Amino acid sequence: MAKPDKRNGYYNLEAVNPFDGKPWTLFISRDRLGWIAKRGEPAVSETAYILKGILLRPRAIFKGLRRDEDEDTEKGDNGWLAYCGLPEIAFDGKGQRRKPFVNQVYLAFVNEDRVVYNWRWEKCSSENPIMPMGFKDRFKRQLL
Amino acid sequence: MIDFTENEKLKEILEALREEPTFPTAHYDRDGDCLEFLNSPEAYWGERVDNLVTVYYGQESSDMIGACIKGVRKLVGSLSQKLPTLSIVIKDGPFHVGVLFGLALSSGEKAPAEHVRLTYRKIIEAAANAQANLDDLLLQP
Repeated sequence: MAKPDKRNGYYNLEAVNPFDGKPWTLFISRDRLGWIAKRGEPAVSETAYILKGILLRPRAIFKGLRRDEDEDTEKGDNGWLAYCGLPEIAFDGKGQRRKPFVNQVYLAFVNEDRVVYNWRWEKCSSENPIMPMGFKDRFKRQLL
Repeated sequence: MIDFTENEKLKEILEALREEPTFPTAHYDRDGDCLEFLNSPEAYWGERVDNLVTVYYGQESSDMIGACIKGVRKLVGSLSQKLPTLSIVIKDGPFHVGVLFGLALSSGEKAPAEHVRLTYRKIIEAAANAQANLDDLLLQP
């Protein structure tokens, strides 16, 4: 696949690099943003106001998202990532700002080409409220 | 503190792409190789069912309002070996999303646990009216 860039339908998104803690660039496709836009509120507001904060100030970043045998998670930067954070706000069905949902974290999923392809709320772990449910079993390794 | 000024740039892009929302809606994401459907604009949280499927529940209603299935390319590829006409059906146009979840349920080597099977059934019912174009699935990754 060609490297994502604006010319072939991707926008840049700043994030923290889980391998060195410095800034790096992720990508988000116009195609996905188009679907988000078609869904209206609150999807649009979550994407606009929550996603970026999770990528820049995550509480944890996991590597080895899939448990398929064809994902080789031992090859350096290859492997899919999951950013996990605690948003300061949430949005209701009408796109109105409200307090974050209780006992939930926000996850953003990144593929091996550094494309952010999905993001959503999930219940937090009963063991650790800043981690997603099942975090010990569903990810190969915690990087941050 | 949230820098809304910076976030407005992303909001501008989204506003430029905005269309009148219609539900149910479904979308195959080529970058994530995942297929999602939603029956409602309601904010939701996701709950994993198994390694393939995540269910979406409305934050206010707690109803099942959608789901996501990942590894679609591999799933369709392996099923196409048993069902050669599957790729033709996909190419023909919008694909009923529930069918894919049904195929996923039956794709495992062993029978799923009862609660997993029941959840899949609910997903399939919820996805009854959701269709997605899977043309990207037939493109090279």
